[in-house]
Amino acid sequence: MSDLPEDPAILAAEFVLGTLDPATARQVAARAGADPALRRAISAWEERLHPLSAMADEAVPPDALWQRLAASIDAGAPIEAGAAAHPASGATANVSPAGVLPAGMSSAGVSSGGVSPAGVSSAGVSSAGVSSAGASSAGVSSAGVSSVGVSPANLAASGAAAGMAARAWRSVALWRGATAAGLALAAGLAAYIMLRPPPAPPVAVLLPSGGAAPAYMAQLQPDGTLRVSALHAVAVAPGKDLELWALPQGASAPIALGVLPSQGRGVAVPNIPVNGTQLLISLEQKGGSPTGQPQGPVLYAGTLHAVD
Amino acid sequence: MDVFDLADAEQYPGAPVDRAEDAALSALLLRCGEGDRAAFHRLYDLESKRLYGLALRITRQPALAADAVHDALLQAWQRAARFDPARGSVAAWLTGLVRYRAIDAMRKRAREVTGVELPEEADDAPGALDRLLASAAGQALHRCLNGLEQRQRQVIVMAFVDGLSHAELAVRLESPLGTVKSWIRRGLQALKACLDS
Repeated sequence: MSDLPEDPAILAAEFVLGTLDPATARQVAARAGADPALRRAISAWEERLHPLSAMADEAVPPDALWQRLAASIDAGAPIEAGAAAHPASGATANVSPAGVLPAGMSSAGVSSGGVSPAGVSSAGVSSAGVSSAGASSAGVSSAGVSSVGVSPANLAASGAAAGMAARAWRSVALWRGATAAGLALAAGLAAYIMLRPPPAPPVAVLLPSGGAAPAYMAQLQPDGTLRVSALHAVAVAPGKDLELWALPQGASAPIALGVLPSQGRGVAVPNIPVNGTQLLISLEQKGGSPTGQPQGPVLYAGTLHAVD
Repeated sequence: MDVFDLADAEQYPGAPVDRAEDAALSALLLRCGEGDRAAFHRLYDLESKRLYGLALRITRQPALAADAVHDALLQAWQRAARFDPARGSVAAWLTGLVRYRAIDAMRKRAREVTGVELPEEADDAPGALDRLLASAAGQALHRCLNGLEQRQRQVIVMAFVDGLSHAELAVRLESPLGTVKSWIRRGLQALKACLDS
């Protein structure tokens, strides 16, 4: 910090220029969130220096980029409502904890089916639990299936399974905000886990939604553990791990069930009512969320149900 | 790199109408805030080449550049309704969104390898200066940059356009880190004084 310029105007300038070291940039971003003057200074510097961007040669982005963006939008990334008292300038948008810093840490491509033509996209995973920019896009696409996401509304129109989908969506949404849930369903991979009580062997049934293949199924074993298995290859970006969570009915926060290898594993289930419990799989940093709560987007979700 | 030396500050072309272009972008962003996807597609068509070129210049890697533009434009869509045109132009806002992500990706990458990995020096195409001078704001910035000492100007332009860090600038310019930092701060102070006058 001793290197920090004293002059706030110069601090803003170096922030915009991009020459602050990442830790300092993080501090500036955090401070700007609560400091309108600093935000204004950052906006002003963005405006002053922006003409220099013309000096870089233009380049035509790959066609897949628009498709990926469109898919991210369809995936339910919400439009933040207008907040008159707190208009977001460039600085506000950039400076928010979900803005500047996580970008590099969040190239969280998860591709399902091992085929991801345009799909490996980054989710701006918020480090501060900010859900809006968080579960932006999971870039999940299956072979031969358009990467355009399925909105919860679309999903709800597809039959009995969809009713459950909608329920799952609503309750997940209550917990994490609509973004993550929209994402889980948009991925077309929402899973329904049905549980047949003993003595019949526990069976997990995973219904496809939106034409995309389900990713995991979970079966309660006679010994009380949960067997979670991938139904096809799921590729996780380097530096990331999947983490499994249980959200019992009526609970306000999920319970960590540990990092889940992409092929799945057996999981010891804590003493919770199984029926109606949601299982969630989120994308986290290597080793799992350090906070005990999901930090990344929920990619897959399903509800445990006994089969009668 | 210092294309500014090539320019005669007296020979600015007539100032084009930046304002009209930004009004068009503002109108599109406003519609994005209402959930108008066609407007977003149009905004993409208008700005993606510039933004992707900028990200590519900084990251040198198409995949990282695409990530930066994707994340930035997605955030622009999400925050469109809260954008305040009184605070600044749409183009400058989008530039910031893309640059922060591209630079962050590069800093992260640099931390993962040992030492400083210096990107190859990019030659500014002959058109670079023309493009800077194609806007009234660019002309003003060019005039003020020309008023700086050459090293001050150089570090600011390289930091902005190439996304170089203090350490990378020091290596590139074969100068001590502290000297580079000093050039940047003094250059920025002088630039602000000139632009705001």
